[in-house]
Parts: sequence; structure tokens; C-alpha cells
Amino acid sequence: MNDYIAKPVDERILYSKIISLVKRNTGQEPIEKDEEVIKDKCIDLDYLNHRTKSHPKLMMEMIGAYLEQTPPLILAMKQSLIDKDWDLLYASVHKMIPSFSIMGINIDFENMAKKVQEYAVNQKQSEGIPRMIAQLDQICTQACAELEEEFNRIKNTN
Amino acid sequence: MSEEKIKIFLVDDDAVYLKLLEIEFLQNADFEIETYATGELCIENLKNHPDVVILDYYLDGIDKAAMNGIETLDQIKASNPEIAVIMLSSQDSIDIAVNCMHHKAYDYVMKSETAFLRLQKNITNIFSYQKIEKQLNWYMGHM
Repeated sequence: MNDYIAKPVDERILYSKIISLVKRNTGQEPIEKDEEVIKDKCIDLDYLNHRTKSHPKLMMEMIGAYLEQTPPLILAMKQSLIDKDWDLLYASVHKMIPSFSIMGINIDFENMAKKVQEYAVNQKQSEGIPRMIAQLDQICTQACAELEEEFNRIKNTN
Repeated sequence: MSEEKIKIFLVDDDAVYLKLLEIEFLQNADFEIETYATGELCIENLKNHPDVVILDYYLDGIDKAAMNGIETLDQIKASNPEIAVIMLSSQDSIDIAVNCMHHKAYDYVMKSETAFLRLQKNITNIFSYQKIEKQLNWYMGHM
């Protein structure tokens, strides 16, 4: 199985799924290799496709908002750790949290962000914090790169 | 002649969540929506007469000088107590919920996948209550 769609079928979601499958199969690389790359993706736009009914303009607006908001939040999160500014650490992670599920990022990272938030509330240094912040930085940076590609793909196909 | 649309202000400094909420409201209900990233902008635009304001609790996270959700709620209520304000927050906290209620919020809704449905239900309740209140006042006036 390559994909699935929930009933009642929304024709725009169906259309976007067909397009992505057709595009995937017309590439130069063997399908196995292509699928391996997809497995490594950290984002999953099913939720967003469902909410926007795969409307390209709305998808681009949502992705655009994430791309504009997230890089400064990553910087604020990292800097606040260096400065031991627990309020800013709390605020930057707090603002990131709703985006994890919206962009279909693994729930483990959302839980990790919530843990960092707890540490920040208690205003105490913990050995685990720098490692978790590094992981959040990595996943959000990867999400930004993947979403930028997705943004350009939608832009070029519509 | 068709009735005027219900006007809703959405106020949140989280641009991704704000956009998602706007999309949900525009796609699933016939409302007039205005979005604001800060409490200050919301207050500045109260002259546009919103019927309902959906307001994030934690507006002063990144910008510490920004007006927070409760201050914004107080100013909305001071400007017009009739405007229903529903507070939004990512935290499930009884203290925050009680604080919002003390400051005359209509309700407190958690930011979750079902938030939009809860908000929609709240808005329906606000307007049915207002309708009943108007009818009651009319009958009282004609007794």
C-alpha cells in the first residue's frame, strides 16, 4: 500500500495524493530508494491537508507561517539556555509546542518540548536539558528544510 | 435582507496556530474574522465592533513588554462588557482557568485538536443565550 484516504473522500485530498504518487514514480531513482528517503522525513502533512482540504494557497500560508516563526524561536531557545534565561526558554518552547502536531512531527518531540518547559518553570539546570534542546533544534531545523521544499513543490505545481 | 455576519477577533502571537484557527473558522462557519498577533492591536481595533474575541492567555512570552492575555481581557471588558471573550491556552491549569473566569471570560479552552469544535460550540451558546435574553426582555416590556 502506498497511501490511504479516509471517507468521506475529499476530491482535493485525493487529487493531491494522486499527483504526489505519480510524481514519485516518474523520478529517475528506483522506487525503493525514493521510499527510503520518505521514511526519513520528519514531517507528515496529513493533518494539514485535512484541515485545509489540500487547498494550495492555505497550505502555503500555513507552511509560510511556520517557516517565518520557527527559526527565530530556535535561536531564542538556544540563546536562553546559554543565558540561563528560564522565562525566555519557557516562552520559546511554549510557542513551538502546538506546531509539532500541526506539522505531523513525532509526538516524542512535543513531549520533549513539554519536559524542557517543566524544567524552565522550575528554573533549575538539569543535565538532560542541553541534549533535549539540541534534539529540538535538529528536528525543527529539519522540519523547516522539508517544509521549504514542500512550499516550493506546491508553488510550482499550482 | 440577510443578517449581518458575526464578527470574531482571533488574537494569538503564535502565527501558525492563529492561521490554523482562521482557516478552520473560514472553512467551517460563516463568520467575519479579523486576526491580531498582539493584545495591543486587538484593543486598537475594538472600534471594528467584534461580537466575540478569542484570546490567547500567554501573549507576553517572547516579548516581555507586550500586554498579556488577562490585561487584554480587562481592557476589552472595560471598553464593552457585552463582548464575549473566550480564552485560549496550551496549559491545562485550574489556576489559569479560575483566573480567566474571575476576569469575566466566557470560557477557557485548551489548544488541542478539538479546540475549534469547542470554540464553535461556545459561540453557538453565546448567541442562543443572547437571543433568549432579548426575547425575555421583549416579553417583560410587553407585560
